[in-house]
Amino acid sequence: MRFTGKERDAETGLDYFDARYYASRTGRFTTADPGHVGRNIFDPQSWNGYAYALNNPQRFVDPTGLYPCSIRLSGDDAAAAGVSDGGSVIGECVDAEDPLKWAQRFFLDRLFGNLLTLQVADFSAGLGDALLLGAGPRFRRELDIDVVDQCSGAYSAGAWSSFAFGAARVGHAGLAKGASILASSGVQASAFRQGLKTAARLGVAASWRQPNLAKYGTDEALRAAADRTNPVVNAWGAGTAAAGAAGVLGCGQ
Amino acid sequence: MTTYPIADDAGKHFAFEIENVYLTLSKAAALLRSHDGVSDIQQRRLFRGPMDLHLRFRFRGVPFILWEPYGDSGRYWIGPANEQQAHPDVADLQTTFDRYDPPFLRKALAYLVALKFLAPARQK
Repeated sequence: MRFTGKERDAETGLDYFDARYYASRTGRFTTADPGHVGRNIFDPQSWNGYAYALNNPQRFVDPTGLYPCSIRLSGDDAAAAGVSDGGSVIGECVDAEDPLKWAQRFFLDRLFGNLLTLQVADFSAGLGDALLLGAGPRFRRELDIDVVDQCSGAYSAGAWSSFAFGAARVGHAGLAKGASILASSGVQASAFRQGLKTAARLGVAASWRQPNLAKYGTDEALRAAADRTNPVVNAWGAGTAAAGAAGVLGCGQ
Repeated sequence: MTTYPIADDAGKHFAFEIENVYLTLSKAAALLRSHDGVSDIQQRRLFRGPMDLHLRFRFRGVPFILWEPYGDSGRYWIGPANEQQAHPDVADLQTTFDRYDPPFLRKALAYLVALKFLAPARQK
């Protein structure tokens, strides 16, 4: 057993990497990447079909001879390597035989690493994590995306934005209910609710039909209609506000 | 599921409401389709037309709608598109929805999301 635990051929001195052999003396594979499946047009390092793990063996390994993949360290291994537990560098290879994950990780690296700033990525994650009711970090773990810093100011700003959005929804429902109680009549409550709806939808809903006595028969029924908001959206709004607050306060947890 | 009749001043039962947390629009369309006298059911297309008007259909030849008041309500209103025109009695159509028993998970979700456990009396 030699380089990265691979078997070494005693006669040739080459290491067997499933798809091809690796020559440790030159630090190169002896044949080109089969079908050049590990190539990424955005990364010149990947264009060399003989190079091992993008010429960056500290960050990547290539257990099959086909695709470089990132590795993680945890526990004592992480401490020994001087990275945080679960950090993005060392340990188990996470996507050795999954071309989809490989392509996806490179796409995200390029998208968030170069085209957009990390701040935008962090803000989007902070916003999205709360809108997904806190499920975002789990999705990122499943997709092996580790570019988000949950302790950054941009992430907090995104989480605050989600909190504001969710709180506004809950406030909207409360206003509708309060106005229906305080209005002098069902007609007045309905008119207020219509205005509230139009404002919340930035004027788009101005032409929608307004509940009136012709549709509800009695003033009390009309008042009750003005009181009601969609409970599923309310629950999502409350959840978003809570998840946004948790995102702001949850750094390091 | 619980439905809520709506009558005019003369006591004529011309529309009713259902709690939308208990069923999807597709299910509502399916229930309507299963009822004799309902035809030409049209579901709103995404991003087309007013978002409060979910279904259009004909009930005994008269245009009817399934409508969500303010585009944001806990109930769907089902009744004639134009209340001023003559329209049929909807009691038997309402019965179709009355008889519908939502799946257990849907009822559990509704119970939690609509906070039924806080105010069980409001279910009626």
